[in-house]
This record gives sequence, C-alpha cells and structure tokens, in this order.
Amino acid sequence: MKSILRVENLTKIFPGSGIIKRYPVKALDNISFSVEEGEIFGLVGESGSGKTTLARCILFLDPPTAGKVYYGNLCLNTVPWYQWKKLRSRMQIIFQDPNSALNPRLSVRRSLEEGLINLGYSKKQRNDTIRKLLDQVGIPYNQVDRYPHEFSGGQKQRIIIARALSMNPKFIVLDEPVSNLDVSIQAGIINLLMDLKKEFNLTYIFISHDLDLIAYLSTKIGVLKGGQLVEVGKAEEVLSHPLHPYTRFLLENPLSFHSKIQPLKTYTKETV
Amino acid sequence: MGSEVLLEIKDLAVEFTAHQRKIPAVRGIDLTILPGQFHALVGESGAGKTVTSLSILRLLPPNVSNLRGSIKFNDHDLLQLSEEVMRNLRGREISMIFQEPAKYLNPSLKAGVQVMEAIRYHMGYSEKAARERVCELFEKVGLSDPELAMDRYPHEFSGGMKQRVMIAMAISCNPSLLIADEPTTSLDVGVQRQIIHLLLDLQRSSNMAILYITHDLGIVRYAADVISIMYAGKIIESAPKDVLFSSPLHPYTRLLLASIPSREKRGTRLQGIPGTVPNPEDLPPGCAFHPRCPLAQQKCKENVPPLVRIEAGHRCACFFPGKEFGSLL
Ligand SMILES: Nc1ncnc2c1ncn2[C@@H]1O[C@H](COP(=O)(O)OP(=O)(O)OP(=O)(O)O)[C@@H](O)[C@H]1O
Ligand SMILES: Nc1ncnc2c1ncn2[C@@H]1O[C@H](COP(=O)(O)OP(=O)(O)O)[C@@H](O)[C@H]1O
Ligand code: SF4
Ligand SMILES: [Mg+2]
Ligand SMILES: [Mg+2]
Repeated sequence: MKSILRVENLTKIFPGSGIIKRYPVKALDNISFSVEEGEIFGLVGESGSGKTTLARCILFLDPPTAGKVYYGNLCLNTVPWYQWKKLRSRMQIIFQDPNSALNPRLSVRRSLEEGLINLGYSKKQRNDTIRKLLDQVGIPYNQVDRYPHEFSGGQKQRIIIARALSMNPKFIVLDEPVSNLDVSIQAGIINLLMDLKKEFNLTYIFISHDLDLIAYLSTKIGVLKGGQLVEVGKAEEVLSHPLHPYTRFLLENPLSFHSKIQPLKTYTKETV
Repeated sequence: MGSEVLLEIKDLAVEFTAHQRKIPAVRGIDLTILPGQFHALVGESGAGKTVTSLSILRLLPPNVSNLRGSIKFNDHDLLQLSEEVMRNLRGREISMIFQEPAKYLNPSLKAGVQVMEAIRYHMGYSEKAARERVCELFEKVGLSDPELAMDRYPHEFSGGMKQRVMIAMAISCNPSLLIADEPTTSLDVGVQRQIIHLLLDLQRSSNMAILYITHDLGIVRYAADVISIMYAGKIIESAPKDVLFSSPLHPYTRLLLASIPSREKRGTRLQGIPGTVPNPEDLPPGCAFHPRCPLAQQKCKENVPPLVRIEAGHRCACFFPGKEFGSLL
C-alpha cells in the first residue's frame, strides 16, 4: 500500500495571548503517523485533546509550529502558495457543524456551482455534475434551488458532502461529521460516506470522540490525549490489544452502549 | 412507600405560538414516576423532552398558547398551584440540573454563597448552619477541599466541577424528584462516569427519584430503571430497562437500537432510519413516524396509534407492535 499522507513530529503551539489563555498552549506535541491509500484513519480523543487542531494543521489551514506533512511524496511545508488551490481540491475537509459550513444566502445549486466554475466546467457540465452529485448523496434534484434553512441538519451534511465530492478529492478529513446530528440520522450519513469511499476510492481521516463509531469504521486508529498521540496502530490490534492505559480506559467505558460491563442496575419488580 | 406514585403526568399537551404559527411541542403524554425511581426520557432533538420537564417545574416560556392535562405530584396538580406555592416547591421538592451549568450559575457570586442562598431561602437556616450544610454537600458531590471550593467563582471550576456545584445546589433541600436535562452531554467520558455514579448514589442513599433526559442510550442502559421513548411530542414506548432492550416493540425503538455503531458491526452496513425527524410545525397525519416506518399501512396514515399497555409496565403506541420487518428492509 502506498502512503497518501505522512505526518512527522508535528507540534502546534498557540502563543499565549488575550485574557482566556494567558500561557502558550501546546495543542499538539510531536505527532507522527501515516495513512495509506484507501484507509480510514480513525482519530479518537476527548474534547480539547487537539483533534480539530490536528485536522487544520495537516491541511495547513493553520500552519504547524514544527514538523512536516507529506502528501504522497510532496512536502506540504514547502508548497508555494499558487499550488495550494489545486491541492486543496484534492484534500477536502468536512466539519462538525453543517449549519456554519453553507452560505445561507446561496441556493444548493449556487453552493455547488462555485467550485465547478473554478474547475472550468461549462453550464451543461455543471448541471449534469450537480444532478449526479445530489443523486449520489440522496438529495432530490428538484430541491436544488432551495436554501440551506429549508433543509434538516442531516440533509445539509449531505449537501456539504456533495460539495466536497464535486472537487474530485482523493483524501477527505472528516472532523466529527455526525456529532451534531440526531442518532436516527447518523447511520444514514455513515453509510453514505462508506459507499462513496468505495465508489471513488477515497482515503479518510475520520475524527470523533465516540470510540464505538471509530471502532466500527476505522482500518487504523489513533488515540489523542492532551495533544499527544498515545496510541496508533491497526484497528484490530488497538481494539484487541490496547497498549496505553488511556486506550484501555476508553475501551472499558461502562457508559458505552455496547459495554460488556454489567449495567449497574437490573430490573426488579420494585423498581417499576 | 413501595408502589406509591410520586409524579403522574396525564395527557399533557403544550402548544406554542410563534410567528403566527402553532407549534405542538408536546402532544398528550402520560408518564408515571415512582419514589426513588431512575426514569429516563429518551428522544432526539426537538422531541419535546425539555418542554416536558419545564412543564413539571412550571417554567415554560411565555409564548405557550395552549396547555392541557394534569401533572400530579404527591396528589397536587402542579398546573393548578399558585405561583407562590410553586416557588416554594421548586428547588425544595423538585429541582433541576441542566446541560450547561455555566448558564445557571451566577458568575459574580462565589459557589458557596449561591448554594447557601438556596438553602436559606427554602429551609430558613442561619448563615452558620447553611455554611456547614454547603460544606457537607460539596463533600458529598465530590468537590475535594469543600472549604476552598466554597470561596471560588464559577469560572474557576472545570465543566465537571460546575455540574457538581449545580448538583449540590439541586439536592440541598433533599428533593424527592430531581430533573436532569442532559447533564453530562458536554462532558468527557471520565467525568460523565463520575456524575452518573454520583446521581445513582444520591438516588439510593436518599430515595430521590430522577427524571433523566437524554439521547444517549449508553447512559440509559447503565443507569435507568424505566425508559420512556419520545418521538415528535409523544411517548411512543415505555418499559423497564431490561424489557425495553431485550424486547423493544415500536419500530422506531427497534430501528434506533439497531442503528448504533459498534466494534461488532465492523464490515457490515448500519441499519439507519430513512427520512428525517419531523418538524412539529408540520407533522405528518396519523402516526407521526409513518413516513419513515417500514411497517406503515394505510391505517397508520389516517389514525393516531394510542399508547397502550402490552404487558405489565410495557406500553407502546403502534398498530403493529413487534411485527417482523421481514423482507421489507
Ligand atoms: N486558536 C487557538 N488559540 C489558542 N488555543 C487554541 C486555539 N485553537 C485550539 N486551542 C487549544 O488547543 C487545544 C486543542 O483544541 P482542539 O480544538 O484541537 O480540540 P478538539 O480535540 O478538536 O476538541 P473538541 O472535541 O471539543 O472539538 C485546546 O486546549 C484548545 O483550547
Ligand atoms: N418557546 C418556544 N416557542 C416556540 N417553539 C418552541 C419553544 N420552546 C420549544 N419549542 C419547540 O418545541 C419542540 C420541542 O422542544 P424541546 O422540548 O426543547 O425539545 P428537546 O426534546 O430537544 O428537549 C421543538 O420543535 C422546539 O423548537
Ligand atoms: S403505527 Fe404504523 S406507522 Fe406508526 S410505528 Fe406502528 S406500524 Fe409504523
Ligand atoms: Mg474539535
Ligand atoms: Mg432539550
């Protein structure tokens, strides 16, 4: 397998400024890992552990303080600005909150069209592509002229996925893509992401605080804690032989729906 | 005590009016809580969980245009009590904790002072006695060094510690019912665990009933005695925990349980539920779940299925409870 992304000794320090954070924050501390083509690298960690910071640093939306990122053989640290536009289309990112990712003043058609115009598509090509994309993510084409507020959270996330796909990416970072969605909607989006991955031979970095979800879909798992990657390895390995105590702690969470730990209380006649 | 009823909600319906539109947020629910019971109310966002809990405390926002039903608490109908009596009950007999404790703590008052005020208001304690009580409470909710914690301001606490302060305040007058509206949703796994254990301890040591509102089925499976599932303003299924998880009857409950990802499901497709959660402003006629239901028949589109008793303690609102999905999926 060919490595599509390699992160070497990545560190991110936010300088201490302002009132809330008076001291510099080391959000990422010497992180290294690689993602092979076609993999789903699941990154799990609690709030504040550095997941979003890592996602942003990988794509240079926020430059790392130290360390290197390679996309294939290309070192992203040294990519000149004029090459980023093309690169960005190959490497997409999807965030947690579908509400802030779409421009409320643009119809679905306009949202999707923008990128396609940049790619130099003709009017006809654009219409055909949009029709195909919406079909792929399960949004009826007759809703193409509607605005974001007319869609539910799950539908918005589908539109955002369509927009990311329209750039023909090879690699997508998904930062908690279903955390803001209702439980009954999440499975549909996850199924969609799995189908698209297969169809377009995509590679994902899938970020979540939910270990059950990460355990379900990842081929490789990384565990982030306080800015450090405390464990990384093949999913089966990490799940069956966790090395770090923190990974074990997460795996043994009695509040996980699938926990094997006996629930604290069982039904007795008196409790009903 | 035993089989005595603590809280009995009958046919509660709450309708709001906003921008000239009617919003039926809660549409006739029945719910019974026994003393000392951990009752989980589960539902997706917008199902009507918070509106239900605010109805119990009589803290509904002013744009309520229609309120129906009764909420009997120790034989008094809360909806009929005067505001003054209600004020004495709130925080004393029934209290509440929320998802964002920061929003409900006064940022400019020391934690100890805030809890002391609540105690003095309800119990008429002297300053000294109230102080001692707060110290005892802080110790009980697991704030290490309670003396020091009392003199801290809310922003000096972490999220989990703020929730502990809220819990201390909520249990300060030994309420017989604690309403907890997603109190651990924004907290980390470890802190979640501690808070759930704290609530279970309190429930047991002082026979306090808990109405726990959440969408997290993991917490429910671990802690609840009885579970009620809410969908589009109605309770669609209610049962003791083990019964609900081992033999769910409503199609929504069954699909929901099957939708949760896990390590065991690696390589298989997740179940999922087609369609979206309906908006209360334009609910489908008949059974509100029918557009998403694999079992829906003509009957479901025209009639609202009532919540009926299937067996002791197990109720379900569906015309075809427990029917096989068969080849429909
Ligand atoms: N722009 C910034 N300036 C200063 N500190 C920051 C900034 N962005 C993030 N941090 C800090 O870096 C750490 C990691 O934050 P990050 O947002 O990456 O966490 P996360 O794992 O994505 O959390 P969540 O699950 O809550 O999204 C935190 O301590 C955060 O406060
Ligand atoms: N003051 C209000 N005015 C209008 N609609 C409201 C008001 N409060 C709640 N609602 C609506 O009632 C429904 C139920 O809300 P809520 O009980 O908060 O749901 P949840 O189950 O997420 O707690 C939602 O559709 C919500 O938008
Ligand atoms: S009443 Fe009909 S539509 Fe509603 S849940 Fe039951 S089978 Fe499905
Ligand atoms: Mg984040
Ligand atoms: Mg709510």
